[in-house]
Amino acid sequence: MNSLERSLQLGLVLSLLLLMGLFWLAGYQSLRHLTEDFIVSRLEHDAESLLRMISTNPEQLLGQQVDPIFNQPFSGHYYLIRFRDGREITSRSLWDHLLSVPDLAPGERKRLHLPGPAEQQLLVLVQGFRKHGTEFTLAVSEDLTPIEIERDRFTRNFALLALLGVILLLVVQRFVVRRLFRRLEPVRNDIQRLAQGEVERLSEDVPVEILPLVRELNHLLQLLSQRLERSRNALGNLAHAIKGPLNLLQQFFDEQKNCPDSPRLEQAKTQVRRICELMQRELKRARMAGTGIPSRRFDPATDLPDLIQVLENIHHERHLAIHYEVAEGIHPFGDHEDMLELLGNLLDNACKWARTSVRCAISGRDGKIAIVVEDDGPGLSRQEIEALTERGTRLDETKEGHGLGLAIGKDIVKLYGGTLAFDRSPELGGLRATVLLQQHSPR
Amino acid sequence: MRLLLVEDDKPLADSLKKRLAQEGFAVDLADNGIDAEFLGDEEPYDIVVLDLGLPERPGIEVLKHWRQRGNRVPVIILTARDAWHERVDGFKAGADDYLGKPFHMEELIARIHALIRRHHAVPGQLLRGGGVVLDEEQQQVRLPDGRTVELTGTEFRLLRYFMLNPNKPLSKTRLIEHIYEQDFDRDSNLIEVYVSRLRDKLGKERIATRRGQGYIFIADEP
Repeated sequence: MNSLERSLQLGLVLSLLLLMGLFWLAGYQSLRHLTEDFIVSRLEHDAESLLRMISTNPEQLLGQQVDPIFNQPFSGHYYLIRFRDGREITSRSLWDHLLSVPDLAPGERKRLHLPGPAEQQLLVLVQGFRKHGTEFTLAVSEDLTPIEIERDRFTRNFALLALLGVILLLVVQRFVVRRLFRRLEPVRNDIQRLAQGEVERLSEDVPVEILPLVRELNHLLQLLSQRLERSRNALGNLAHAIKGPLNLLQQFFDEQKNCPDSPRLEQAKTQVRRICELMQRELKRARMAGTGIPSRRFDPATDLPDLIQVLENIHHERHLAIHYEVAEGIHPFGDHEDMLELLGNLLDNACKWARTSVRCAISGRDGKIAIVVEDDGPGLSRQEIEALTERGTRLDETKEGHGLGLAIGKDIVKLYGGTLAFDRSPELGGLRATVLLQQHSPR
Repeated sequence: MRLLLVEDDKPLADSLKKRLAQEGFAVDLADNGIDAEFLGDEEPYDIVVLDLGLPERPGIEVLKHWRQRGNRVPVIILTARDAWHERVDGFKAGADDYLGKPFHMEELIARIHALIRRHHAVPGQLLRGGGVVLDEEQQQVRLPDGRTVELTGTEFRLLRYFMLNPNKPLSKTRLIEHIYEQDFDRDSNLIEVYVSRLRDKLGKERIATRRGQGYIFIADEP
């Protein structure tokens, strides 16, 4: 798993273990040297006091003259003097244990670790001397066991403390990292809000480490919406430019109405109408934003009443009752222009056919947004509904824009990955159009 | 009926103006937003046909400014920008009706008539008053005794204005303002001539003279 927290923890554990290990090793080594050096210096003192006795009469080194510790059996403090001829004087404390020390030439000196009696670990200082013409080797030793026990305890405690330290640090790090990542939570919420169209850009009040990322994202968003805006404007201008001449052409044909019918005139008229419709449909299709681009969302609670007002004005002469209903808790969805276009076309179609009333309801249904538009007009037969669903064919040539509006509606629904279905309204008796749109999910 | 046509596409504007004049409107033409806004504020138009894509000042702003200043002249937006969100914006800015281009002349004229009737709170499809019914399409008038009388262009315009404002004293100035376009040579004697012609056709009692106030169309049923 590609987790920052995991990587941080792994890095911390490894470096801490390495560090603690090094500390431990260095501590152990220096402690060992320190204690040994200390013991060796003590042994040197012992050796010196022994030497002093030997200097008067080496043959008569008696137990009474030396430090009592050398007389107590297995006391841990021992000495051994071996002359060139093989004679040995050993401390009483050594009892019958044999210390195998090498013979050293005068001036030589060695430090040895030897097993002692009663499983003692001895540090032995062996030195070669010449006194009054007699060469001998002097070995003094001390038991290391108590010190080693102490030292082991120390290293064990150190390791334990280090381990505890590592665990504690890990816990602290985890806490810190979690806290840090919690500061990213607002960014995530921001992105979710962005996806739902509640905001148009991300807040730049973020930790400096992710600020470049957020800025890039904002820049990209701005670019996208500018591009959408530009292309929409350009299309609007194109429509404006083309529609003028087309309008004149259409008027020309309208004025020819009273002339004797000429088939060629009729043909030309049909072609002009086709151009108008094709252009209208393609322009509208090109203007659609679809999902994934941050733009103003359609808020049914405020935008639908406005649209209904427009329809009431446009169909003022027909005195239609247009009812609408928006379920509670429907969040803004879809692009503002797209949804107005979709609803406008559906409602306009319903108004054209209705006798007295039109109904529009927006609600949530299984996590989707359901838009239902129905009228009390004549409705459509099954064949007509099938034809409408398949191709968006023009059903009535006399009512302008019929079929075209529904075709545009279908294009929009398709762009949003939704469905548009037609059937007979069970209550009003006319046509019922049902749109199901995927509720935009944040993930 | 004074009509302000705001349209920057010259050929379309000319063709529209011609046709609207045939329908009995005194048409003034503005081909940019600033002129349109000025004319709309200065002249007592009965209706405005407004394009949105205008040079100098967008049509929607022109409309907003009129409404901000309390100018309630009925406005039909006639535009190539006919997406639904643009219609919503148009109505929010204070439009009374909206027609997308390309349009059929008949539809525009029907909507203009409907809007004028709506503005004058005239119910139904036909203008009637005092037993007289005005046929706006044929520019004829049907009298209470069933006779149909043809009207000339100016007579038709004058009678229509009378019938849209029944039982209200209308000054000669006001009548001229609403019947002739802006640059017409305004001679108030002309009104007297046409009023007397209408009296000949409808009967003297239909249009009364109020001294110092002007004329009044009596719409009470006989």
